[in-house]
Parts: sequence; structure tokens; C-alpha cells
Amino acid sequence: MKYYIVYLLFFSLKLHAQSHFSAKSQALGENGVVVEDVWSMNTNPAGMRKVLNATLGLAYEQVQLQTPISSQSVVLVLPFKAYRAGIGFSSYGLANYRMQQMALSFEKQFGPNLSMGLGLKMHQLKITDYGKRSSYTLDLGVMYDFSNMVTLGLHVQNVGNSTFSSSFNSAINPLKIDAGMAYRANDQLCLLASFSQTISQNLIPKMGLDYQLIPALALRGGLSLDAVHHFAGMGYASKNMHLDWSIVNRTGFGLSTQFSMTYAF
Amino acid sequence: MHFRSYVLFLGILLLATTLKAQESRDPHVDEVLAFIELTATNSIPLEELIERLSAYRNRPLNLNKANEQDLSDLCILNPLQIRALLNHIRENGPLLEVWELQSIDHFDLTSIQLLVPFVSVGRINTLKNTDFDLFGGAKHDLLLRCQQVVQSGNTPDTGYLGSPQQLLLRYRYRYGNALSFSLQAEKDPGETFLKQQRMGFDFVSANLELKRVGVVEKLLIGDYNLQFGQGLALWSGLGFGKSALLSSIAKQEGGLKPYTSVYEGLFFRGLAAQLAFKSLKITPFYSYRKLDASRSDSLGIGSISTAGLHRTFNELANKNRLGQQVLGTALQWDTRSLGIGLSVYHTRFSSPLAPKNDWVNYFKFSGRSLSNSSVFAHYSQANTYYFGEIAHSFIGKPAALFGLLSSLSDKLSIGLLYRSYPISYHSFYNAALAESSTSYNEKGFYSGLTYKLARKWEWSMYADVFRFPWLAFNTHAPSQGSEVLQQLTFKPSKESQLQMVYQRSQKFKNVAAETAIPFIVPYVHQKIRLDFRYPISKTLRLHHRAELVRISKERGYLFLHDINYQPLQSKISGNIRLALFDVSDYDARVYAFQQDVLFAYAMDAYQNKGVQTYVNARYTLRKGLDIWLRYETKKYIKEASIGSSQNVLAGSRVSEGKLQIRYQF
Repeated sequence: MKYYIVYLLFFSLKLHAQSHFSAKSQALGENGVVVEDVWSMNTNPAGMRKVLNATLGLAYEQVQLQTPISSQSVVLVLPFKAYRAGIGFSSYGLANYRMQQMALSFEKQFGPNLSMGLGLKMHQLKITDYGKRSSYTLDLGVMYDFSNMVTLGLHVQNVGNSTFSSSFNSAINPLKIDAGMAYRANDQLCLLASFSQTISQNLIPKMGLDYQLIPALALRGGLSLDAVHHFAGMGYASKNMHLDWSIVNRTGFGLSTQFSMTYAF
Repeated sequence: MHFRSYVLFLGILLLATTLKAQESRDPHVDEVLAFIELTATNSIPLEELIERLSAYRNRPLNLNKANEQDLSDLCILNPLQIRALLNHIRENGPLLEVWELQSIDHFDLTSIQLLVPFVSVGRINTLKNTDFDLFGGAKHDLLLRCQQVVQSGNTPDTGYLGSPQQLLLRYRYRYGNALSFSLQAEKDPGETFLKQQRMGFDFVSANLELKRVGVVEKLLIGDYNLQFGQGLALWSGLGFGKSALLSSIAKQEGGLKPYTSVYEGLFFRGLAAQLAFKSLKITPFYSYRKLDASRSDSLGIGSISTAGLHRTFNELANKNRLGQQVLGTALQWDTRSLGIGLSVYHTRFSSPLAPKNDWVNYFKFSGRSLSNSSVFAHYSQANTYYFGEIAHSFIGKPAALFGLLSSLSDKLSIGLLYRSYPISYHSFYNAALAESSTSYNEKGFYSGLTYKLARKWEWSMYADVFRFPWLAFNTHAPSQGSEVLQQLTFKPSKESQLQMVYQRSQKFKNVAAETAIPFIVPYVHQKIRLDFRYPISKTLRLHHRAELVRISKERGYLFLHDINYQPLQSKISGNIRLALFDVSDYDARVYAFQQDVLFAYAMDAYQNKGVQTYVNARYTLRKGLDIWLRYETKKYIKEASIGSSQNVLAGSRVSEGKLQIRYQF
């Protein structure tokens, strides 16, 4: 197992996803800061605490523009005695414009209620006739169980506000802070809310709702309230597998649908 | 004639007989109106709702005998609550006590507290249970109102043909629940009275309604409203738009209803019936009306006017210019959980409609006749109510609306609604939920929720995203927008309420400046409101509100304070308001509900800068005989005159007096 981890750490395919939210997080209004699953390695590494078995995740998203743009992601999270480690790859864009990202994330619990994580990401951008650029960013995340019904989350993305070179300055997601809360009203219903503040941009409130229609099937919906976007989705859960689907209609960007699957070994 | 002459005129008409139950502008009615929280741009005849609620205060609705339509008429309960109540009575027998409602699913304390003043669980009288005395056994209700802007009497020749007074006559006759007659007549300021008026008043409306005779559930001769489906094809009269009240997104059909308003807008005039065959209802109808309309550049009709003002020769020339015939029918089939309906009707005008030939009106209806049809349905299953309608005008594409209301838990309810109103869809009687004033040229998706944070705390919100595929008024390009409302309510006691509201909408409009190529620009409209109501004694209640409106660089502020005096056993009651406002631009105007005499309703827009005060007082001369007096004054700061064109008043003060007498016997 140790040799396997070392091999993954040195694997150097550099990928970046424009939309780093999983289908579940996206359906919940992009409240990834308080969603806890394998995809948390992108939205809040501390959320990996709920991964109890080695889990593989695959995701595919397509944005319905005149020329459709797609993104593909794969993640693998491995639990250890005292921490969890994850590795992820994602790719977004077109043949002439491609953003790729590789992420390494670690999560550790400090007591029964508190979990912290950090993520190191390598980004590469390739634009035809413009060349390619690479950069590194660091993410920090915290999860805290305020009570058995309320969980608080905090995620700082790109702590150092790293960029590519000046000509590619705006390509990497700039410094962003997400803070949110998940409230489990009962066995069926979970409400999520968060604020997202990207440097030099408006504060974006977000809300999400997860409703277990039956134990295996969840209906999800969400809202972001700056430029108002509606999100919706569904999730199916069996013993080892989770299938999630989401859809969002962003004004000016068209309809986007995403599928993701996770399998716990 | 002077104002005093009218007062004398009204006084002469007083008669004295036996006393009946007292009614006034009831605080419970005001509470429901405030709870409904209508959007300020709705020009809907709210007198119907006020009258209905006031009538139920006098003769509470028997919950054990009420049907779905009776319950939806209250505008307090949502479809899930109505169905839960009817199912509860069906399965468990009649309610023994009104507060039994607490044991029924979906009934929260707020809804019950609002509902209790209007309902009971006792017997009601029907035609079969009374002696057949059409006069002595019936109830009569006569109301007369006179009002005038005081300064208008001092204004130089305005060009209006009539006096500045506004007069209202309202008569109701009711024999049990089976026979009723209503008459309302109105003269607006500036219109003539008696002279040049065949009926004395400029606007007269009447109807006779017969109920429950064999298969004829209702037979209506005169003026009436029709309300079917979700308002896409056939809906006239009372209808609500978006609000913090989640259930407002699902319209509840009123079917055939007598028209009892003086709003001279869209209603039907003729003959209609509602026939009931077990679960099936059929409503055939015929209407012929004369509408006010102005000519277009061609020989057709440019526009139809619903303002009902006939003060000048030009306005009189447009009066009753256009004949409109409507013939159609509606079918409804209802079971315990499923309702399906169909409406079909044809409209024909005496002259062709020819709207102004510009890009905004490019797709507007033109011609002499139009056929409309729609299919609508609603379905309840467990905790979810589904509703929808598809309508077609046999020209272009159909319009559609689908939605649901669901109680996900005892604390959380959600509502979702999708709408699509193509530019090729036309209906003269549509009132479906929309961002604009009509269901036309719009697509949108609405989501809302209500969540009980704690026993005394409730949070409501909605988010609406919409798109206008074609040009609209003051927006000469396709555009889109969004609207979000957040409302937090704290009820420390049954009588007290603290409410905080934040509303933000983002839309587009034409650029203000003249440019070589006109274009549209985005703008954001924000509103913050803090509203607090509480009693300080058994007879005195206070109300405070602070509101800020912000649009671009313009600001509007409003601070108002009301004192309500409502003793249980007293001949006198009333309320007073003091309001301070400062609005920098028309677009930043602030709206607030005004308390008024019984059956009157006003949603005033505060503009410019000034102070408003008003006093409403009711005095009971004897049982069944009430007088209301209202005096309002607005003092504007830094204004040399008020109003525009023919309505200019010299000076910076506007005052209005109102006298109303009601006699029930």
C-alpha cells in the first residue's frame, strides 16, 4: 500500500477542472464546503473524513453552448489509521483551450468533532498558439460538528492567490473563501447554506436542500443568489456505489449537466 | 355641487329599522391582507376579498359544510391545507371545535390564527330551512361613500366635465345562501353625475345570483367573473402574484363568481351558469360588453382602456367604443385528489384591434376575433400538490405553466413553478403568475420555500429567474432578469409580529440618455423593510415600519407609525397614521398598504419628500348603522405644486376627506 501511495504522489498528469464541484455538490447549489464525500478533496479536503474505504470517483460534465464544453474528473481517496489521502485529476475545455489539474489532498481528524485538511494542486493551461503555463495552489479546509445535527465548514481556495504568468493571469480560480453550514433536520432532510467570497468579486450566498425520498434515492435542489442560478439533481446510493446527477442553467452560459459515480472497495 | 351638499344628500337617505351585527374595517381582515402581501403593481379588485372576509366575520364559514371553493375563497389556506381539512372531515367526521385544526396535517399556528375569526363549526342556514319571505327574511346592506381631494375644489378649470367628488353606491341583497343581488355604482372625480348619465353614475354594475336549484349550482345574470385553471386562458378578477406566501403560486379556481367590484376592468356581462353533475361541473357563459377603447392610426382600435375614467370629451369619446362578445364553456371534473378541466371560448370585437405599429407591438394580437382553449389539472398525493395548465389561442405556440407545492417535513414547505408564455400566445383574460403585468412574452422558473426555524420564527424566500424573448415596454431588446425575496418573521405572541424583508430584483431597461443606437442596460432594485406590530393594551395596537428602496443611485425612505384603536364594546373605533417619506426618484417609490374605510383599499406609492397623516374613525349610531370618516393629508416639502397635466394642484399640500355610511337591515 505504501509503494502504491508513493507511485500516485509522483504521478504527474496535470489537470484542472473549471467546475470542481461534484454532481452532488452542484445539485446542492454548489455548497461543496459542507458536503462530505470523496469529491470533498476539491471543495473542502476536511470533508474526506467520511470516507471509510478506498473509494474511486468518476465525473463527467457538459456545458451546452454552441460548441459544447466538457470536463472529466477522476479521484481516488484512501483512508488510513489517522488520516485520509486523496489524489485527483481533471480536464476541462476544448481542443484549443484545455485546463488540467492534478490535486493531492490530506485530511486529519482532531477529536470526534473537528477535521482539517489541505490540498495541493498543480494547474496547467494549454492554449493553441499561445503555449502552456503551469502553477501551484494550496487549499485549506476545516469541518466541525457543532452538534449531531449541525456541521460547519470552511474552505480557503488558493491561499496564496497564485496565478499563471501575466498573460494568463485570470485563468486559475483566485483566492476564495467558502463558509457554510449543513443542518440535518431529520433522517430525510438536510439543509445547506454557505457564503462564497472570491477576492474582488461579490459575496455569493448559496442554499441547498437534500431530501431522501427513500433511503436509496435523494432529490436535491439549490440556489445561488448573486446572479440567480437554480440547481437540481438526484442521487442513488447502494451499498458500495453512489450515482449522482445534476443540472444547472447559468444565464449566459447555458445548461450544464453532470454525472458522477463513486465506488467504495 | 359642494362637498357639504353631498353629506346632506347622504344623510337624507338614512332609514331606521332593527339592528344587526356591527361590522367595521376589521383588524382581522387587515391582518389577512397584510399576510397576503400583495405586490405593489397589482391592480386587482381587492374589494371582493375585503367584502368576502368581512361577510365571513359576520356569518362565519361552517368548516363542516364548506367545500374546496369556499375554503379557497378565504385566501388564507393553501391547497395542501384545504385537502387535508376535507380529508380529515371525511375520514373522522365533523369538527367539534375550530381549534381541532391543530391536529390536522399542514396546519400551522399562523394559518389557524388567521383563519379562526372567519370560520365556525356550527350549522348554516339554507333556503330549505327558512320561511319563504323574500324581503323580511332577507338581509339588506346599503353603503354610500363620498370622498374628495379638498384642494381640487380650489383648482382652476381642469377641463373635467364633472365635479371633483368621488361617489360610491353599493347595495347587497342576500336571502340565505340561495339568492343574492348586488349593485354597485361609482362616479370618479371629474366625471359627471346625473346629467349626461343614463344611470346617474358613470359606472354601474349589477348581478343576480341564484344557487343550488337542482343541477344548477349557480345561475348568474349580470356582471360576473370566471376563474379557471392557473389563469393562463380564462381568469378575471382577484388574482395574486409572487409573494412571500408560498401558496400564492398555485391559483385556486373560483369558477363562476358574481362581480362585486367597482374596478372597471375586465369582467363579463351577460349570463352564466354552473351546472353540477356529481363530480362534473359545466359552466356555459355568454357575455356582451362595451369597452373603452381608443382608435389607432388605421381605422382599427389601438388600445383597450381599463382605467374607467370619463372626465373629458376625449375620454367620453372613447367610452364604450368597442363591443366585445364572448361565448364559451368550461368543464371541471374533480375527485378527492385529482381535478381536470377544460375551457374553450371565443371572443369577437365590433371593430378590429390594430395596436401601434412598432417593434414592441410586433407580435401583439391584431384582428377581430380570437379563440382560446386550455386544459388544466391539479393532483394531490401525500404531501405534494401538483398543478398545471396548457393554453392555446389557435395562433402560434401554446403557453404552459407547471408547478408543485410540497411539505417535505412539518417545518419545511417548498414550491416550484415553470412557465412559458410565447409571444405568439394571446388571451384577453389571462392572469397567470408572471413578472410582467400579463402572461405574455416570458419564460421563467420560480422556486420558494417556507421554513419554521423555531416555534416563533419563520423564514420564507423565493427566487425567480425569467427571460423576455422579445421586446417589452421600456426594454427594446430581448432581456432576462431575476428576483429574490427573503422574509424572516418573529411572532413573540399571537398579537405581535416582527418581520424583516429583503427583496432584490435585477432587470434591464432602455438607456436613459439619447444614443445613436438605443440599447438596454441592467439595473438592480433593492428593498429592505422592517415591520413591527404589537398591542399595548386590549384596545390599542401599534404598528411601525421602516423601509428603504434603492435603485442605482436613487433612494427612497419611508417611516410610518400606526395606532389602532379597536375596543370590543364601543361605538367608536379607528386608527391614525403618521408617515415620513423621502423618495429621490419615481423609480425608487415606496409602497405601503393604507388602512381605509370598510371595503376601500389603497396601496399608496410614496413619492417626493414629505409627511403624511391620516385618521380613520368609525362610529356606530345604532346596530346596523355605521358611519366612517377618513381624513388624510400629505404635506410635500420643496414642492410648489403637485400632480401633472390636468391634475395639477397648487401648493404643497394634498388633503382628502371621505365619508361613508352603511346601513344593514
